[in-house]
Amino acid sequence: YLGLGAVCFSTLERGTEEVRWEQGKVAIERIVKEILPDETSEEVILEKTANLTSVVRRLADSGNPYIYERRENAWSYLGGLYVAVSTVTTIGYGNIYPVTMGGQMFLVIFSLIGIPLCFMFIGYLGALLASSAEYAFNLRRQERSRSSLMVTVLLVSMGLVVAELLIFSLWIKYGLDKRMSFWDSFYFAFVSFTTIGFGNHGFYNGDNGNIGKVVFTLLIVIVCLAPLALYINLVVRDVMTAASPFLARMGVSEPGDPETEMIAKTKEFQGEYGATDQPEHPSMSE
Amino acid sequence: MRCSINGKAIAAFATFCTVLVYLAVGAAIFQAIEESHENEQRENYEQQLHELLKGVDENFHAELKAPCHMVEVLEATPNVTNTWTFAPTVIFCLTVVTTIGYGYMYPVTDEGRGFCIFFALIGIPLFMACLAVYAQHTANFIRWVCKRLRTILGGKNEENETVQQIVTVVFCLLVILTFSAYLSYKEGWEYFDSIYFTFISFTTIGFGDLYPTSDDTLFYFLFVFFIILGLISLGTVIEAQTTNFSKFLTFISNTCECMCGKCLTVEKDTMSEVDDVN
Repeated sequence: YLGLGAVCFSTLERGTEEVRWEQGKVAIERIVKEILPDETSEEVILEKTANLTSVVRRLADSGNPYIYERRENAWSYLGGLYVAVSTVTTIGYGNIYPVTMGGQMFLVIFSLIGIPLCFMFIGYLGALLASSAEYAFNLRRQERSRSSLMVTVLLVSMGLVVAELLIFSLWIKYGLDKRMSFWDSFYFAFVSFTTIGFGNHGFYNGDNGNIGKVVFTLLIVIVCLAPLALYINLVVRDVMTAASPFLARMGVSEPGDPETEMIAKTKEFQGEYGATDQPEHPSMSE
Repeated sequence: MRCSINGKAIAAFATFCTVLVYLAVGAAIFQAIEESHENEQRENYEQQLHELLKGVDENFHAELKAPCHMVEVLEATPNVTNTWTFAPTVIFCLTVVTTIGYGYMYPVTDEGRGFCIFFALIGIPLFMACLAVYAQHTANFIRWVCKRLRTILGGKNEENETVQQIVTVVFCLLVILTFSAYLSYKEGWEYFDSIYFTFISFTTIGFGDLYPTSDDTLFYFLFVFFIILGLISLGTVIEAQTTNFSKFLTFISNTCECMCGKCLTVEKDTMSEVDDVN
């Protein structure tokens, strides 16, 4: 899968660095013209642009993380909160991160406790969503078979994921940063909620003009992880359920130990969504 | 059913509050540690800029002191020298599918990003399913180690969960330290930086302040291997911690139930669901 993906990405993205340097040069040239409005000689402008480009390239190579996202003081309290959330959710935006040894050591300890804590919350929220979905559908029709309940909850989680992606994108575009296109916001939302978090674009840069909005966004991000986690978990479970006899035959587990722990866990899971306080419906043909 | 949902709702709310408090405290500490260093860095940056611009133009220097120009310029330019050749792109795909997402390399074309979403939606669950299988192998290995330990040290003959957790933690540490040593050797990083990078990768946080640049086949294979091994071992450790926290929460809520007399119990089936979601 990785190999195939690599071929596709390679084809799609090859050569884009040069394109971006070209775009960068255009931006630099514009700055040059702004600074020297009276300069009319094309040659001079080109020369200054080339000089400034090499300056930028050297700055980019210098590795000073401060230069990438302009911030007056990223490490205000809000910056600390941003990094804390970014760490504990494992998104790891990467536009702001600790660089001192003390900060890094603290981060290690902070995550060892914070990540399980956050996962615990996400777990409970996800379980709550799943139970609520199940309860809602149980109310309507008492005679759901187990598998259709599972499918229902899966569909509900997918619906939640799509809804939250759309709503969050709208918030990012209209609430936080109008310059972003809707597609960019959507992509950013997706990358955040899956906790991939590329970090070429975080949503906080040290600009403390919008404290309330940034804090609100941080909280929303944490909460929004639950539906996607639930969705991914359900898909994994479905794959494992379908594959479990096959895997068992492959000798994935030692015979005798909490055997195909997978099968046992899957049965447990099926039991959970199987409306245990209702009588089994005789015909599962639904 | 109603009781079960109430219990979960309360558990969700309680854990949310705990997380918020934890974040609030952590933020203050991060700020305290990093703020002064940042001021230092800003001075360095302005000095660097000054030095570099000496050869260019007086006017430039004056205007570009305003950082906003540089932002625009730097945002438009790539900060990576890797091209999208096959092997580095495989590593990129790995960062997507493991959700690490370093960010030193990322798609910029619309088609690339669209494909990325599609690739992730399938790849992440696929990878997690694979991890689950590998994790079982690792768990079996750890159980075997525990058995051998027991025969060597001669203790009780039943399975002891604490011993297993300790062995898992030790195993995880060994993986981290070994991989860090290899990275230090191969990439030339300080050992502490390697350990930090390894930790950030294995938790899937993946800031991307450090990233691998070596370019030989053996390195790529070892990198992928160690990332997977590390994700499993640290993942198991963190999952064990999550379960411990949940048990602790159950204990607390059971105590509260005595006091409040209402249905605050976090039931056993909730905990297994919690594990499932994670």
